[in-house]
Amino acid sequence: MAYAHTIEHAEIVHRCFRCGYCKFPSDYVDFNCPSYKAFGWDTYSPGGRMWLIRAWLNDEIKTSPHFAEILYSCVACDNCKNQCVFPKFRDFLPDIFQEAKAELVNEGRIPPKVRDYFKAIATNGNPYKLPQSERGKWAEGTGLQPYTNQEYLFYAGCVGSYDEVGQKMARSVGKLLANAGVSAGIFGSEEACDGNEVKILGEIGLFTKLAQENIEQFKAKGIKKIITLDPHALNVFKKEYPKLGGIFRVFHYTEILAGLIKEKKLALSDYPAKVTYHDSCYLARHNQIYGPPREILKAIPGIELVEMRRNALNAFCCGGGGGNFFTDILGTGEDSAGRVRVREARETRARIVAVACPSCAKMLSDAVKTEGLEDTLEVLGIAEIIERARAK
Amino acid sequence: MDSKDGGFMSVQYMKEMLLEMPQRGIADFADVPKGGGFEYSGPITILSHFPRYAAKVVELAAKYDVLYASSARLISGGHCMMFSISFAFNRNDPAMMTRVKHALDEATAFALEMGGIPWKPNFMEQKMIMEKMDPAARKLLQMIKKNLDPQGIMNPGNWEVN
Repeated sequence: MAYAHTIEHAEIVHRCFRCGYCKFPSDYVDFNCPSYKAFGWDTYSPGGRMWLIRAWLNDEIKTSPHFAEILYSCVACDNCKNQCVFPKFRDFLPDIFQEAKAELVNEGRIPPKVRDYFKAIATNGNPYKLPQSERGKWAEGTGLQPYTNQEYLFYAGCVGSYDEVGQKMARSVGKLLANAGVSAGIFGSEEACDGNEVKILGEIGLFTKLAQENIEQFKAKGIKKIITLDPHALNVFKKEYPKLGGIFRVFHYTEILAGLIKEKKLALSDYPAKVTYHDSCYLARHNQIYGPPREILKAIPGIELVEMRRNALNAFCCGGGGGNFFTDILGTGEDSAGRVRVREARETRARIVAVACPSCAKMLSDAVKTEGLEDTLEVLGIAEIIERARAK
Repeated sequence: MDSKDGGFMSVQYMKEMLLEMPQRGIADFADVPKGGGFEYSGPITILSHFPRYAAKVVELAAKYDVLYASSARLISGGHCMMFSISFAFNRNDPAMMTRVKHALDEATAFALEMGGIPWKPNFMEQKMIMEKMDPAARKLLQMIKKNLDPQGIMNPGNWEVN
């Protein structure tokens, strides 16, 4: 029996004119859609996807592995939402892509890598298939204590808890929070996946379960304020949890650290370095947090902050969003997002790419190796840079 | 016009023009009927005929109950100009799309009657041009196509002389 596809915003999909502005930054210097940049076919651009989705909803094309791959190659960077020429309509572009993916989940026709991601989260509670008991190991030696009614919960997330690069970032933030006397605790082995990528990838049932369990846990422990390491977690806590009754004050760690530096609670020494800052999509475009990471870097004596050609609202994604960090559907070719981005960073002649997101840190670190730039470019979390400035 | 630059300007300047606000305005026009589409015919014609083209666009829009936009564009060194006729449609409204097609076909027929030559003609415009073409010119076109593309693999469907 034929499967009748439907999505919430089906009635407006036809309005995409496919003019193509969605795949550019504001000044048109390059293609700013990571999947279009990687593959070069219009089907991989937001407009191409819109036309494919319309044809699919009208049963003019059938679900296929290739169609699913095209949908899942979107990294949810939100560039299209900002560049589309149609006001209001453009706000729904990311929703339409996510709804189409959710429909593929309902149909059971998702790429194997996406299926494996969901399975790992559902079975292990994290995409790394590592034991829950190891989730809080990163915090050893940071001075952070288990959460017991402190002012803030510091939420590390899956990447910060299990990935080697993410753990380094989490440890740096944890040490700074503890040293500055911030009242913050962690859940450790009780922390669970925030579900941001699960939702973006379209598994709404699994996302709802994760979110509801987290909300119950947060409420049971009396959590009012959360500091996140990961902008992806910040995004889902701020935007999706309130819809399920989870209303918390959510901060990114760079906002807290910028405040501590202003209040002179973190002493900084001279650290001479030319640094460029890579905006995380979920911190910048999704949540309009552009200032705090830059304020921190500018506050460090000796640091020369230079901007990349594409920055802030027009920053090019690292390629790790939309679950691609785990599914790697964009691949590692020459025009893959991470490699393009580190080449752009190199153009600034900076020696350090500062990042505020563990996924960006991992994606760009890998890209630096692939591009053979290890001797000239280093990827560091904002807190790691602060630590270097404090070590002198 | 004084500089004789025309509609085709130097590449860098043209790139800016292509990607700046005027073109975004064109995209906006496509969304007026909230349907994501417009089709245009851009006959190259002589300047003194422009007022009649402008009147015709308004007449066709009223006749077929469609939204219109028109513009003029200099070609190359200013030796001729294009009068662009656009009709917007809603891709979810097949009846509106049919009305736009009829309006455009009638606009093309008008342009050919006036001695105009459609710019980048679509299939229907090609057909109408070839019907109006001098038989010797049509035969020449057929001969060129037959000799250079005997298997009909180059742009099949385009400029097919039957």
